[in-house]
Amino acid sequence: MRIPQLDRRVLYMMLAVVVAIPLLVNVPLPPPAITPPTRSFYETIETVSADPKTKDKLVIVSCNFGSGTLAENLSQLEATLNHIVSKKMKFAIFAFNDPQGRDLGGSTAQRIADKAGYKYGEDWVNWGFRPPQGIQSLLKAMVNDLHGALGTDVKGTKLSTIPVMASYKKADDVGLIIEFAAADTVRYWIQFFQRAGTAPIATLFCPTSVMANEAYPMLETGQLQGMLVGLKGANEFETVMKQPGFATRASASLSYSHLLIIFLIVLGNVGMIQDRKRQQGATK
Amino acid sequence: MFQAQHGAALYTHLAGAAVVSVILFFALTLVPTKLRRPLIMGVTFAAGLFYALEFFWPVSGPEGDQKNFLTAYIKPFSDITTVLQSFALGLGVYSLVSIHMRKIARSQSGWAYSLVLVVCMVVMVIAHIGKEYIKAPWVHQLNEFAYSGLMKSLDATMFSIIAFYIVSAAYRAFRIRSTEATILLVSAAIIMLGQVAIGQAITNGIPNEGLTANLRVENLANWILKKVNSPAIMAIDFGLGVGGLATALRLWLSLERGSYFEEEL
Repeated sequence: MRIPQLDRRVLYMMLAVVVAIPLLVNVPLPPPAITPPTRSFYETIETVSADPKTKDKLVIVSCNFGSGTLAENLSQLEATLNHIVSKKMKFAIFAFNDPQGRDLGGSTAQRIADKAGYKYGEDWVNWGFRPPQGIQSLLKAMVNDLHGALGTDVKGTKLSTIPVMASYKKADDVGLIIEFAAADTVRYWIQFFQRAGTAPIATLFCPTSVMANEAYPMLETGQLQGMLVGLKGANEFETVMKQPGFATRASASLSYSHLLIIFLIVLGNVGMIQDRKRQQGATK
Repeated sequence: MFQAQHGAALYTHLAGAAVVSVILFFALTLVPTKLRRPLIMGVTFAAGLFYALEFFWPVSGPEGDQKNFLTAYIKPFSDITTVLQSFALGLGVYSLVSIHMRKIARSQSGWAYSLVLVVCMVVMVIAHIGKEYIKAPWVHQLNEFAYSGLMKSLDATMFSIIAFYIVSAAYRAFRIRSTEATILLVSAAIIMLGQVAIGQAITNGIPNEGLTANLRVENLANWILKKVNSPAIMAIDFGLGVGGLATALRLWLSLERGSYFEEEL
């Protein structure tokens, strides 16, 4: 049987259906296997929140993503913030690569903080957005003086007057850095901040799936303590936390769209082999 | 090093800075042509030397607060960098607007797109900066519509379109024409199946302990990512790092060649 050439609009429609149906209707799916990067991500937060040396330190939640990667990064952010507030850790939202990160991170944190009874200024703070062009110098300046380097929070209030920031003044007061990003911006933290204090700061990374490949070496070298790989990582984390959210619902779309792509690759290759055989037959 | 100023003192300092900047600007225009290149080289070298010296100079002081004589100047340098970058942003906006305004004025091909760009730019500037300073509800509504309603949605839409191109490319371009392509295809299939629950379910029956665990698709995918992908990425990063260092040195020492560095200023 000859494989017909599929029009690209048919391919687009197939993908739209495969992605949309699991989001509209509950499609049962086996629970995901928890991969080592996700396991270490979870365990790092557990360790930092339990260690007397780090449990009262600040968590920097760096939101360097925009609407384009909302499905992946926002799911990771929601799941992680839920974990952080469940451990009663104080955190600061920060963005330096995409101005949208300030709003997306801030609004998500506000929603989760309200649910957890966190108060702005007392339990968490939003440092706002700083331009990416000067981020190297800013991070270097933040090492010894968080208040002076950052100046004000997103509302224009001086950081030195915000209660939650009273005891967090330099890199040594930071217990954990978590980077949510659509790019490899975690390198800035590793290069200029992570080891600039007296002890290395645990650093976690939540990239989009396509960016994760570049971060695996940093896991191997110990520069990163854990990683959530895209939407799949968020799904695994929600499974570990036993708090199903958007990532769990969307994982069916992800699964079936992956299957569709594999199916189409096979189909395309079968068609190519058939054509080749036919051409060989014709020349004979 | 510098103290934040408020009220009248702030405006006095701003006016002072503006006057000094204007004088400096005119002074620079009076510099003889032959001296301009050495001047740029000197400023470039001094700027780079600051960070190099600050990094390598021995530090002293109590643990956790160790500094050298340059550490205190990092913050002002950070501010200077931000201010300089802001000038670059202003220059970019000026350039973009002037090019598109010229296109509109001359009714050149595609002028309508230029008009949309300029209108969108003006509306977004009014809405997004305005919301910080103007309390009128229409500014906030405009910002909500333009930024949250339009820009964010369009951004997400543009990014999601990639999925459709991937599907089309998978069907039309991913062919096993050679041994390398076959290895790539098999690796890609294992990674893709290992990344999703339904793919992992294929080998769920295999025990996740002992030697047989290596046959589970998620463990195979993880092995490829850690043991094959990571060394390749590290090698690329190493090459990039060496290249970056060489480029940085050439820029720092003004050895770079190209239109900006060889033209008579």
